[in-house]
Amino acid sequence: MYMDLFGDIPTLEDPERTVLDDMKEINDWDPNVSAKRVIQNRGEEVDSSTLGLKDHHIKQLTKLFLAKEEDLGDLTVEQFFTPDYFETNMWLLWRSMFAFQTWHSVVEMKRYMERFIHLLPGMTELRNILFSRYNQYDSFVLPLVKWLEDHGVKIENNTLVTDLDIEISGKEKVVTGIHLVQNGEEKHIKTTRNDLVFVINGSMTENSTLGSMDKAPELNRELGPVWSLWKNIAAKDPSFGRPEVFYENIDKTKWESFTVTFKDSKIADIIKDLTNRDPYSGRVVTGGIITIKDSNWGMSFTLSRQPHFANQPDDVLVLWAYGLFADNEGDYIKKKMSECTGEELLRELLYHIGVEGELMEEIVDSAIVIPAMMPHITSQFMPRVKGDRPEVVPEGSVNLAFLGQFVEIEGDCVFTVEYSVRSAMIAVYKLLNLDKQVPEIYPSKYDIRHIINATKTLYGNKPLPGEFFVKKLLKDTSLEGLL
Amino acid sequence: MGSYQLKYHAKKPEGIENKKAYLVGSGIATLAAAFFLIRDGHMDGKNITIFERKNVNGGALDGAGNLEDGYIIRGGREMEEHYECTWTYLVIFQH
Repeated sequence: MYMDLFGDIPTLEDPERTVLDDMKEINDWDPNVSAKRVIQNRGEEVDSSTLGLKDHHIKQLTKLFLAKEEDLGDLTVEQFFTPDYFETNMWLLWRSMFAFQTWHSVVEMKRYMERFIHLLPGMTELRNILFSRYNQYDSFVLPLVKWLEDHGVKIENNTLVTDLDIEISGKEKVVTGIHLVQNGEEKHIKTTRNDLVFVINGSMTENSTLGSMDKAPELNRELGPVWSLWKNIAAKDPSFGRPEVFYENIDKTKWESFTVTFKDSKIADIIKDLTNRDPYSGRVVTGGIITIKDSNWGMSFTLSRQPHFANQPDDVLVLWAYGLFADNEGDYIKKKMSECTGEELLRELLYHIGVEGELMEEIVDSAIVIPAMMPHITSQFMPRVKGDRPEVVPEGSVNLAFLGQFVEIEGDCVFTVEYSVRSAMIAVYKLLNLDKQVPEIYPSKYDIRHIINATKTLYGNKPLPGEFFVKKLLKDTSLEGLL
Repeated sequence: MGSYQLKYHAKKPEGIENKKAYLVGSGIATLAAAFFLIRDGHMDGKNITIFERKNVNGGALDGAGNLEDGYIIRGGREMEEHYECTWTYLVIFQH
């Protein structure tokens, strides 16, 4: 049985294959497509096959596409669009897929629209989205750490960096020392202009707290050590950014997620009914998140390819869910999401997918729920202006670079692995003065084919204004087929 | 930008063997930076130190647990083909 189900899954951990090979192999074999993107009324599918835009929404989106960032400043999404935009399918899909809120930066929304314009036609069904074989830690972190350690890199754990000594003279900025606390002991490392110092400034997952089956996660409002470090560094020079723009508004940057471990197969039948897919097949199940339109918590959930963990038994399913509005009361559990225990979170989810009575009790009894509260999880989306985020290598810096989600990289989008990796590449090439170029951001926004396809998507796949005439014009030419 | 730029190997920076690199945090950004220092910057891995305050690495990229205690991922990643920097990096072997 097991062999039949998993027979054509490529070897799991082949030492001859790279992480990229594995990623492409599994996504070619099993491309993601949404089973049901949106549901309501406890399991009923909502038609979200088009973006549901009216002409004036398309006008606003076009205006955003053409606007310059400096002219948009720190405008929020809410300030840019008319209120009825937030009733459209596009906003529902957008908000849930990227964890975007109405009070977030419209500049970042513009960047997403442009950077991923080639994905817009597939957006309603989450096509062309890639998922790793396992969870992100097993699939990415473990092989990377192993590779680095094999090459002699030391990772010193339980080591907190609290501040840097930075000598600023004339136009030059040089890190001359690192203050750290290692296993509780304060230490100081001297650095010279010949050394290199890379700092991840800010963190989306700083001060995350976990709950349990019978305990809600406690929201931690303290200033965590990652933000403190950036704050200490930023105090030394304006070119090091303004961390408070991102960490101060916890109620605008927090949300809560929870992971459910199902030991009983009863949930499998429910998922099967909902998605028409077998959760034990090893292939995508929900196909990315399913969003519950009438969830007051703004809840979405996903059952990724199983097993989601390398050590997960075959008959166990691991599901992930999150809610955008942790301060709202539930529809079944009449409590704020943030006040709910793991058990209550699961009950609310089960209610929304049509489970009740004895079956709900049985499923809850054999499940383990771990809630996670993340105070800064969307801090990277907060409205910002130039200078709030430092350059990767600030002006005049000789040996210091900033990395991660809170640096300024023209044209790329935060809340992506790519943004962090790009910052790393820019930093290394620049500080070492390498005669090598960082790959350009995929320039799909300049590609007329992608622009046409995206425009068609905005118009709900109806013919574009003037399409008939352009087609007629191009007929029997080498450009026939462009539209 | 194509292969001509991407496949080019940068020359070994002068004095690279005398440099040390210190990286703060063990998220994907510093892991990647350490990789680029070695692959493109010709730095010896022995001169690279990553400081991480926790006893688990990876920053936001998490995933832990077992059957008894339950599994936990705080989030997941939706990716795409044109992560041009990421895919040049993830050409390392799984083991």
